Amino acid sequence: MIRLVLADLFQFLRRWLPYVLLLIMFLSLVNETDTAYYQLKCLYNDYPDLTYFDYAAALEHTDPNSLYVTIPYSGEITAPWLQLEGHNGEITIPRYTFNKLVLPHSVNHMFETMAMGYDFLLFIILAASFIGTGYRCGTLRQSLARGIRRTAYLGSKYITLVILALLFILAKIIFSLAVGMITTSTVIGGITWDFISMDTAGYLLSSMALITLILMVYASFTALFSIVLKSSIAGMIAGVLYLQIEVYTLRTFVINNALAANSLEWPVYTIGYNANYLLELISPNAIYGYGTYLNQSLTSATQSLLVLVGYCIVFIAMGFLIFRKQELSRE
Amino acid sequence: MAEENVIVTRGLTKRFGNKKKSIIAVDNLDLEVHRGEVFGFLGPNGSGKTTTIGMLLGLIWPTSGSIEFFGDGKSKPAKLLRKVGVVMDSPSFFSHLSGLNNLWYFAIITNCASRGDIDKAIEMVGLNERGKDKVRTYSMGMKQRLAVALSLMHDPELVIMDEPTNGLDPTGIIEFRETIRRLRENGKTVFISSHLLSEVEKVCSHVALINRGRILAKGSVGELLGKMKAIWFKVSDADGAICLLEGVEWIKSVKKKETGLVVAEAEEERAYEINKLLISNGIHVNEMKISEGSLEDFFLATIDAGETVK
Repeated sequence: MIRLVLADLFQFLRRWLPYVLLLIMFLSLVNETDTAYYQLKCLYNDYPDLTYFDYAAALEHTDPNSLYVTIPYSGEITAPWLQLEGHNGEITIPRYTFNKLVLPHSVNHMFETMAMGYDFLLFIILAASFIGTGYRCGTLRQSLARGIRRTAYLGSKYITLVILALLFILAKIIFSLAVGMITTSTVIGGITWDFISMDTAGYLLSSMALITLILMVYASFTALFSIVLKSSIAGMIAGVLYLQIEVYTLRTFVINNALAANSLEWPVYTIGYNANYLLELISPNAIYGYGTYLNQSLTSATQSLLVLVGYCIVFIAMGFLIFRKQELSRE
Repeated sequence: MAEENVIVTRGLTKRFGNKKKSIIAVDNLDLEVHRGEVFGFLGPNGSGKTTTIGMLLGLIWPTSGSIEFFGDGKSKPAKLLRKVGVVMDSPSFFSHLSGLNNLWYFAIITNCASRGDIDKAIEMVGLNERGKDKVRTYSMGMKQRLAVALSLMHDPELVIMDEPTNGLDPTGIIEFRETIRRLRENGKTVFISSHLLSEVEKVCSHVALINRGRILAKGSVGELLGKMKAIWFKVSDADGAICLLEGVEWIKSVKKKETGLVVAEAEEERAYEINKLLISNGIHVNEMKISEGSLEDFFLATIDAGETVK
């Protein structure tokens, strides 16, 4: 099994697809950071005497659940509209204005952006391609004809997917740390490393584990369709369609608060709802996910974990069941 | 001493579809391939060759029947397949990897070939100069050669080849023949499915003919070809001769070749009877010649006979 996993990593990491997907992921993070930096620059233009330290001081007195921070400000004001309308000595800005750019909060924010679903989408493409390659290239038949047992073959594929998910998240963490170092230096004028602690390491590891689980649920769903239809493209279409339909449906129900008003319970058993519930745990005050809108009484961390693990087990078990009986004649 | 069986199938059957509408791809196939044989598995397209090989390799599940490798009915098929080299009906490689890395991939997963074995195999098929190039840049013939290298790199006891000469140029075919000869000299057993009958005739010691999933004939090449000879007659009335000979039961086939030339396929000993029959019916025989039948003639005659029976 270990040999199969090593061989799969050996061949898959020589493809251009994982790197293209990583590049897209990095570019979306850079784009997010650039937008945040532009917003901060506009704020500095309006309030030239505002500093990060004013924000940090104000944050200490702010409700942890609040999405906004109110900063006392008595410095110069350059925005013409503020000069006309008058200024009450306070600035209220979204909490993420600085957090997106300053370590360690920027890493936290990076997890938050995952709730938008782009990373899930990229991983779905990666998983479908990885599982479907064996069918497309005929290497699956070649492997089985060389005495590789079907359970070992598919088992190694799922293990490799877990490793790829971990590498995928690790790459994003490392890249976001690198970007965070640049933006922190720009915003504060230097980096303090006092955030490096066992707590931070624990946070990062637990976040990686939770996101790996979320990615694996989508990946195993996608893999199931790639196996059933013996095709990468079919798996991709199924995974992306499911994700999009789920995102649309949940946004409709959850953001409109239909969930709470009508006490609808079925969304609580969807992948997306539970994925977002866990992302809310990793990154409280998530601005993009459903975190703020989730009806917290309808689920718990344990329930969410169990639902996602349950989905994963069902999808993987179905994959094994179908693959073991599958006829692998020339297509 | 009894010959050691390398492949034995008993009542091997594959039915596609459901109970109401099904197609029998392989019907009650009994096959025995002995150690050291180069066994040709011949049949027209859609006759069930690839399905049979798929079942041998565990890619297609038989509807009924049994398969046994190396006389071992107890071990799991996956374990026994480790001793088998395979050339698939279509080359199956990662196109983004080089030829060498493809071999390396399969060497890792099966743990039965070293770097040295890979280098030796790639050199044997003449791909050492292109080994580091991506497979997507290979021609069909080069992919086929790589498939041969892959099938041989772990020194298998049995090599199963499905249409191995597909895409090979004349030089490649000669090299392929040489490879088979070497394998045979080294005591390996080779099972080849091919439609290139002249090639099969040159390299195989034994053959089985399959059509519509059923074995029509099997045995050593010499045995099968020895049964039937092509007897050529130069006659005064070719059409009359054909009409006459077609009605004779023990003549397997009669064909008109050129003006006045008729070729009848029958047992050598009965040539004089044909001659006598023609003369007694007023057809002058100017010349008579007995030639060795080819596997192609035998194949066509057997397939025709099979069709007639059906």
